[in-house]
Amino acid sequence: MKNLVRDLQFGVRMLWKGRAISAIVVLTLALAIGVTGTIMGLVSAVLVHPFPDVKDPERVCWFFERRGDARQSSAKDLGEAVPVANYFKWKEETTQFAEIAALKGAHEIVEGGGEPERTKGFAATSNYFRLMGATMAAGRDFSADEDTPGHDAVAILGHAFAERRFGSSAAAVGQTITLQGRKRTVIGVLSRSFAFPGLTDVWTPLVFDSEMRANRTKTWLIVFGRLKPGATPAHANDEVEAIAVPLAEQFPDTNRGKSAQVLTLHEVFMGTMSRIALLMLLGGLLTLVVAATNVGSILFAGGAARRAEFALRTALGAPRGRLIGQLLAECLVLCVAGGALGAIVSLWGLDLFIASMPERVSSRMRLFWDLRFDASWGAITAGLTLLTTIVAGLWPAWRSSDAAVTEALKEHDNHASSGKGHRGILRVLVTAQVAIALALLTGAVCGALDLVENERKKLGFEPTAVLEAMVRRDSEDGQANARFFTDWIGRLRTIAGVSAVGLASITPLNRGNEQIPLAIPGRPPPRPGEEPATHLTVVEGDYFAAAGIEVLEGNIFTTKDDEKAPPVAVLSRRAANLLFPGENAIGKTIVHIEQKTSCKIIGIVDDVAAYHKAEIGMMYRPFAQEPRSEMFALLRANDADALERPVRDSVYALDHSQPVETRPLRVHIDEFLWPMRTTTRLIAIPAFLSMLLAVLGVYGVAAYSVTQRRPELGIRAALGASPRALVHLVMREALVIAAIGGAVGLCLAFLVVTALRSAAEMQGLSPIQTVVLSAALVLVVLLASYGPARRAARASPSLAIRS
Amino acid sequence: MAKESDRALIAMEGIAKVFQADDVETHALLDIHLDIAQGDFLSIEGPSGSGKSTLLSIMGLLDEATAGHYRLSGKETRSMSPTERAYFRNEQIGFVFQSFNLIGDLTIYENVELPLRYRKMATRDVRAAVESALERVGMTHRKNHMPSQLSGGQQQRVAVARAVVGNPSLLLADEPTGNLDSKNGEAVMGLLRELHAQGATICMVTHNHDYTRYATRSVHLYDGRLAAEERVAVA
Repeated sequence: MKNLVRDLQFGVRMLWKGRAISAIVVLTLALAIGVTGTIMGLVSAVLVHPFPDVKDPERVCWFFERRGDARQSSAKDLGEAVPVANYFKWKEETTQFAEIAALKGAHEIVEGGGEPERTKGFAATSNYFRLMGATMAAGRDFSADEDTPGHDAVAILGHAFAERRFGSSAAAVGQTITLQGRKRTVIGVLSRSFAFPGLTDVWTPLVFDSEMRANRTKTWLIVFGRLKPGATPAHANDEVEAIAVPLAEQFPDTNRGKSAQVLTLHEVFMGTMSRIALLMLLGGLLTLVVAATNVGSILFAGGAARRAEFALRTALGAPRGRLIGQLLAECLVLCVAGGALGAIVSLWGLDLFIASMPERVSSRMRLFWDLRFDASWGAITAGLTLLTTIVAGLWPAWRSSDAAVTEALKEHDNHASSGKGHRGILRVLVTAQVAIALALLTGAVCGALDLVENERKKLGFEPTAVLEAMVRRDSEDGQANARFFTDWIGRLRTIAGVSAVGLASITPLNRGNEQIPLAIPGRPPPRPGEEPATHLTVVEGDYFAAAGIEVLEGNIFTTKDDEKAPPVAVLSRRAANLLFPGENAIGKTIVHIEQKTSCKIIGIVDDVAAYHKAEIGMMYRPFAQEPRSEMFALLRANDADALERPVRDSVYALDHSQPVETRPLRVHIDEFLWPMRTTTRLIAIPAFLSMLLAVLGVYGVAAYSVTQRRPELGIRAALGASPRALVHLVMREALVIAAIGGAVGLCLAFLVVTALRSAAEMQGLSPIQTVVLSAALVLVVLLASYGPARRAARASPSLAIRS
Repeated sequence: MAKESDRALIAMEGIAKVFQADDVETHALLDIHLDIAQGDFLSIEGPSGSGKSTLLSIMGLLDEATAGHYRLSGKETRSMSPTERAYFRNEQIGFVFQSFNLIGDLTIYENVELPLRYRKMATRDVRAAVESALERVGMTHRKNHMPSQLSGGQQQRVAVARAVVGNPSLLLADEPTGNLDSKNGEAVMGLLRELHAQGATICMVTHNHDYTRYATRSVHLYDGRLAAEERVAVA
């Protein structure tokens, strides 16, 4: 113990003596542990602890229904909502599930408390929270009879909503809340962490009447099931598929061409995320490797320089254990300092990551993944770094304490430039760093190029200086709703400063596009499930001008296109090209299969950006011919943000109890680009850190080499080597490192690009881009060695006499 | 009529060298006047710290004088750039150091070849010159060995080969026998005498008075000043 304290004291003194190097080591460790810890925290949240609010989430399945063969569909293309009749069929006939529960969106208006507020709500069957394993912060769960008619005047609140509305969870229980004009008693408040499958204000019982139970057309429900012990998702899927087959025969009008499928939560949410997370983990670990080899190189060089000291200590009788203990103490001091700083960097990194999310993404992400610093992963990161640091730091002591004491003491006698072995090991370490850095950098550049391409991609609309306002009418009276929206747009037009205003059933880059199957007269009827399709947007007023969508050909809707006029449609360019390849779509007719409406195409407008790359295009229809109960207003103005108050007032003037949600249209762009920006950042940060460390490594090797070779450089200068020749001598070494590291790095880069292509659908680099990137790396490496090389050029030839 | 110093290979006038370390000035050389003619074999003697190696460094363009004029082959060296000095060292001067100063990572052949690699010589000429130099010192059979595989005497013979491989007009030797036993020391001195006999101009620093017998002239340095000069009868 006394020895340990003495070793630690001496270690601190030695590290203070070389404080510049010690600071670099601590900083390198801190950055590497911090960045890797952040990535590991994210990866752990995604891969190890997904769905923190759900008990045994791997046992929970999601039921889907869709047209065509379910086995050939990808998770993101599946329809998540199913008809009520299917839910009851599954409940009756499946044997693989211990529990099946259903949800239905219920965004009801809560009364009282200032402006009308539409809650984010769900109606759930009484077994939903039991199925999910949710816990209550206060009060109780729904009882079995509370999802039956007459017993459902109860509500369970989300934790945040309860605190906002009633001050605390406990205070909320027993209170009465009026939703959509109906009073309900608050019987419970969910725990703070539970918010699956979305951040929710109010949960009410889902009650089915007999008409709903038989409904096979309206896709209202989200259905989950918990597998019985011993049941597997594959068996459950087979069973659900089998149940769908006779339904198609029994109910051909509604179920023909439809199939069913169950997927685990992991499959639904984390296919792509898992692959990206694994790539990030790989990037983080490679950064750690680079950092560890960097620290190892520095310690190794320092240790090699102290070899004579260790040899002298050995000659004086110091046992190998004491030397190792001394160096171990120095390594420990470095690692503790680096690890502590790294933990701070990691915490800061996670906060920064969360802060970088657009608001809606943040609330969505935090529902599923518990984003926090994971101490166990932090410990693994620190442990790996410590191990590498110790191995690198102890190697010189091990070498010095062997039989070659005399040799070490005589090392520099009579001929210059020994230490070639040490330099060789350092060169290998730094070459590995350069290779890894190039591979990671290639990945980062791929991501950056993809991001730039998406940011530059023609959006097809102009999101700046536009305010979006959403109104959802609860009235079942279609005519009254239509009147409301017609009156509303009239009021919006009168707001000062508004240059264009329009309504749309969905706005660009807003999730939730309707997809409609079409038929084209004169063509053979397609098989069910293989109909051509487009997305549908119902518009009113100057929507195209307000959104900034260019009209390419023909006309757009006018006030004459009312409910009495012949049905008309406007297509996006992509939809027109897909539906009428090589033909002029203007004047052609398409049939909306579900509504059995034939629409004449009167115009073509520009495409707007969409989430899915395989976009099917958009059909626009006039509001008067296809009215909706939920519409978004777009208002274009120089100071669009200032329009929020008058827009709200325009709604309240028509219906004082009507909630309205407003936000700038550009928010969609941030949400759209966030995953790409985040992926790129999470690859770029380790990549640039690796690059920086590799450059520092090359600089370190060059500087160490120059220091070690000072006598040799002096002799060469004495023999007539010009300063330029000495510069070349040092830079040649760096060039070899860059060339070998670059070649190995290119092979690794190929693997990284292949993985990115498959995991994140990123484009790779062209051969020219690869060559430019490699050349840039070589240049940076050469620049890193130029400083030490210039120092070599100043080697005094008189050293030859003095050595 | 030209002065005698104008015809000398080395002409030093009023050479002084001051080393500055923090606030302390050390006067290593003071007012040195020295000419060395083509074909001379000059021995510089003196006790440790008398300035012998500093004088040799200035002569070999390894260091610069603080004051005075130094002409080498008639060219004033004060105005030379580092690159010019390197060129001059490579073309005109050969060095033999006390600690041999072979490069440990190069073979014997590569060590001897080194001065020629800084000239743009044809490979064939380089090979011929190196072989010839190694032959002169009797080390051809060890040309593929590393320095660490040779004895001290052998290493110094290799160092002599490296010094003469480029046919320099001046050979500077700094305590060439300092790290050798007497037998090897005599062998190396014999080598220098042979070179001198073949026309080489040699300037040798030594503190072993016995070896001054190999020189044609001997100067003594005390506290940085030339104290005495004597002509030596060649042994």
